[in-house]
Amino acid sequence: MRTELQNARLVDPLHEQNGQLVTLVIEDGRFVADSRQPQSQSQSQSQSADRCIDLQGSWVMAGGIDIHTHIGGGKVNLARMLMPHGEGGKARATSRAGTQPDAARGGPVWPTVQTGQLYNQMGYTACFEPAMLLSGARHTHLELADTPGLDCGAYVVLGNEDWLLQALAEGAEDPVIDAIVGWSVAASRALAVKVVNAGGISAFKFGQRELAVDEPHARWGITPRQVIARLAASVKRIGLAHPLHVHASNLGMPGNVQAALATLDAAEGQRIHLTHAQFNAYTATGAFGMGSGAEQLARYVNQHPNVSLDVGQIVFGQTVTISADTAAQYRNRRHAQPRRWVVGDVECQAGCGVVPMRYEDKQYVASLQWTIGLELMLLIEDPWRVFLTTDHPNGGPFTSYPHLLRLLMDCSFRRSMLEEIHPQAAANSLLRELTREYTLDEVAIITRAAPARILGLHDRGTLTPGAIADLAVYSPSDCWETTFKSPSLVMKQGTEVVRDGVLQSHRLDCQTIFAEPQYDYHLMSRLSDSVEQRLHMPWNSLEIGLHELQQVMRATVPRGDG
Amino acid sequence: MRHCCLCGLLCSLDRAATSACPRRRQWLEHAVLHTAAQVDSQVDSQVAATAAQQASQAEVGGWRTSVGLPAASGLTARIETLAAQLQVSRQPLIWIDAADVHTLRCAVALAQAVRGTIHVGLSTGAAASHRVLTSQGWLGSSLAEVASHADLIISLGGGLQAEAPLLAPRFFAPALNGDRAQWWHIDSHAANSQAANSQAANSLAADSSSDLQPSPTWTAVWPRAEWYAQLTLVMLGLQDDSVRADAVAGQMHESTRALLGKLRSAKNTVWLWDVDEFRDAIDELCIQRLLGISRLLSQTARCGLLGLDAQVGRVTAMETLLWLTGCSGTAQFDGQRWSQPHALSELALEDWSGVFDSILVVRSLPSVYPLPSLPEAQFLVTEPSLLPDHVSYEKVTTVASVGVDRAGHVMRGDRATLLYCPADTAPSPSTTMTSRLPTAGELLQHLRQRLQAGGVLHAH
Repeated sequence: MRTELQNARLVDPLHEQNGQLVTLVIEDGRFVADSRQPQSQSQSQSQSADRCIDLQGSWVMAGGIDIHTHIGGGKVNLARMLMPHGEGGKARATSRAGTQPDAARGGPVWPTVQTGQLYNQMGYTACFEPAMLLSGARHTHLELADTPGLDCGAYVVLGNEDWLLQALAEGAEDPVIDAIVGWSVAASRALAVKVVNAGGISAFKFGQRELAVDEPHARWGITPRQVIARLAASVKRIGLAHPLHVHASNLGMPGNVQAALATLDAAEGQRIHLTHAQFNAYTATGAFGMGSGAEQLARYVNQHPNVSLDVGQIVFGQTVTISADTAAQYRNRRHAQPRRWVVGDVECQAGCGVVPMRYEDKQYVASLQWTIGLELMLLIEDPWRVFLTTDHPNGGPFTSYPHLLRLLMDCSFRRSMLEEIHPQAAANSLLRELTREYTLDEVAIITRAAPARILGLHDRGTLTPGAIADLAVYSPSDCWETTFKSPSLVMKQGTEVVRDGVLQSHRLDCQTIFAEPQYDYHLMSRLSDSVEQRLHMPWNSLEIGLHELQQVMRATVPRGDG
Repeated sequence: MRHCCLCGLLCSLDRAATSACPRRRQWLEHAVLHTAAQVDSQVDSQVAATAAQQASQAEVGGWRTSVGLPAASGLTARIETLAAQLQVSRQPLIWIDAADVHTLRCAVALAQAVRGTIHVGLSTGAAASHRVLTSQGWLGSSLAEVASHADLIISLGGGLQAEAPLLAPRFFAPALNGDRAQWWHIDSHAANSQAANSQAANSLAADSSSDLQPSPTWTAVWPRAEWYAQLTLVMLGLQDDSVRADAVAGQMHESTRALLGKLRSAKNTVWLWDVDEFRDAIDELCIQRLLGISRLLSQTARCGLLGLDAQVGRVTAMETLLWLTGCSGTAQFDGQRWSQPHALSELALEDWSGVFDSILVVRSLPSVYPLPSLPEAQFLVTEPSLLPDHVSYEKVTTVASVGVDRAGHVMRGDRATLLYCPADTAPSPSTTMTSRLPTAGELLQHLRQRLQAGGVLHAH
């Protein structure tokens, strides 16, 4: 099958014809060549194409990639249970700031099918669930398998397992740590490793309500800094493309930007990725004892090329927060709105906390959070090391990305929105001075090329020959939000999934993307007792086989027949 | 030790010793018996089996008609009957009483195709716990946490030891070793606790490699009618209002006072109970009291709740319905989207017959007691004996035991082992049970395809 997309204006900084009007050629689901021919000659090329589409100069970008979005697993389902279908939508409609698009009814945690469709309708074609517990990996993969139109992967949560903390406390050598980390990734079919509040979730089970980066764990005596250092190094040794993905200590607490900086230092120069950084960028000064630490954090990132971050921008309105960080979510329960929540300890590994939250634009803290996320995005100079996320649904739904892109690309709009928030948050914000506007190329980087690169997905995030033909076509308009909200065409593996905003009925065989780490399996088998003594089940029963992943879990039934 | 594919635990019991675990007996024996029936019929009469297999393959996709059912209820005829009913139905209902992930996927797809309603039945006790969990703040725990981190384990009621005799040796014993934790047990009758202990010990004694059955450190007997009052007193006592504490002190049992003292000194408490033992409105209030206690204790220590049911540790039908439709328990498809028909919750299950003009019940495991009287319903069951006597055979289709699929996988989406075969071993041809019964999922999928192929959908 050969498809030609004629008169395509490329927006891909990795493509040597970036910005030019060309014909994109797709064969068997991949880009095969760029036409360097003027349009008149491309007409003759089209003789051999099975299908030609004239894009009339519209912008073409690679399919969007969300590196941090909670779309599968037990905690996501708990959020669905606490926020019945439609409840979030009703609440959002009353938001005065009106900053969430009416892109979808229900939410903010949609059913799997709708999640896939909504992502496709924005031009996204790959998403990554960032918090998969080892013992919940099957559930996570089952949900991801039921999310259509998206290639998916997941990061396994580590850093609070009794067996890992014990090994670290006993001074285990690198091969032992590598075996535990590598096996966890391989067993759960994960793509990367995420640390959530290193040691702090475990410490909470032993009565410690907070755990500073250099504070010893009450039971194991080790510090978060030690956990981060050992895991960051291990991730590199076992050959994972994505650096350690870190949810830092003391999330959500005033003054926690120091914890974020200390956590990044703990990597000792190894690559490290700070996730939902906005939630870890608060000073303990300013109005109400809380201010923006964005400048400090951005300066650190600008000075340290080993560091990257995703922002975790908040959006005003109703949402629900979900995290493995039980300690943080237990603190957050006081702010639950509606007033129902679930916090629990999970199988000697981590925890689970689900707390509905409503970010009010007239409330100081929420307004401060809103400014911090944007400040980070605008202050960090290298677009290859900063990623646009809302930590869906924690900061807000992913459907707000077009709105957020407008905030980044349109300074006057940003300033007009600044007038809508709490006056003290607005008055103290650097946003008053920042004039930077993201370019189209930079948008292509932060939402496509950079996510692909940092995840090691070399054949995604670009329109270059050989890459998977995931793409989105956007039409220029006066409003960036309008442009990015409704791509006129979205293709996945060269197949149309959205045309003029309407979902197409094609069924696609989407992929689960996982890593194959290098580690000593036999060494892990010798460590298996420490796992079985905690879980009381055979350690290898946690292993998800390739056949199981591809044939059993993805044994789906046709959707959308109704 | 082998892994129990049913509850996800390491287990020293083999299939010959299932009597020690009622849950295991209930699930596993059905699977074993069905598989055995198929295999035996082939061994005993190869010619007859071959003929039956050929006949069934000629019928529907290699499936065989059900053993023990009248010839008239052959699979093709049954599917035609079900399809005909769904074809004319304006308000179809698929009623699920426990199912694996794939069966739920198939059921949702069928409900979507016929613009119907799907309902996942919950036991009365599970429904009560669910209501409390979704209406307030909930502090939860899990089994491994009990074993490794709790210093005070409190079991409430006799149901736990009777229904899950492996729970204490498997999860309480590690905590009790070295006096790290204490196990306090509250029962309504002293005899219940003793009998349950004795039964479990006897069963376990039959297997020399089994774990040691520990005993509670402390046992209290509260008449069932007083549980709510006593738990309320505990909660009031924990609130540390000295005036009120004095006022309630006189109403406390001695055991309640002792429990209060123990709770105040514990660092990590977990309350456990069998959800099916807490069924009525007062029981629901008891759970709310437990929740109040856990929230009070957690202000300075840790206290979690763990209600156990037959679904513990697995990806349940309820969860699958949630992620596929966004609805909890009941989901209705209107041709565009799924929604939760809240009005149904106001009706008794028996009255659903008046709302739906066709009902298909998929009953893999009887988790809902008693089965509501649904005279016009059709049934897909793993074992006809799971149905009440008044259900006639003409309305029953026997399907393979839960989750045993064509390749021999146990497909319930367990968080523990999902497969009978090792993870990286593709199923061998010998495990492709061409002579076995179809699973409920396969049948639902076939039914949908039959309806779509016939072009009968959406005529209504």
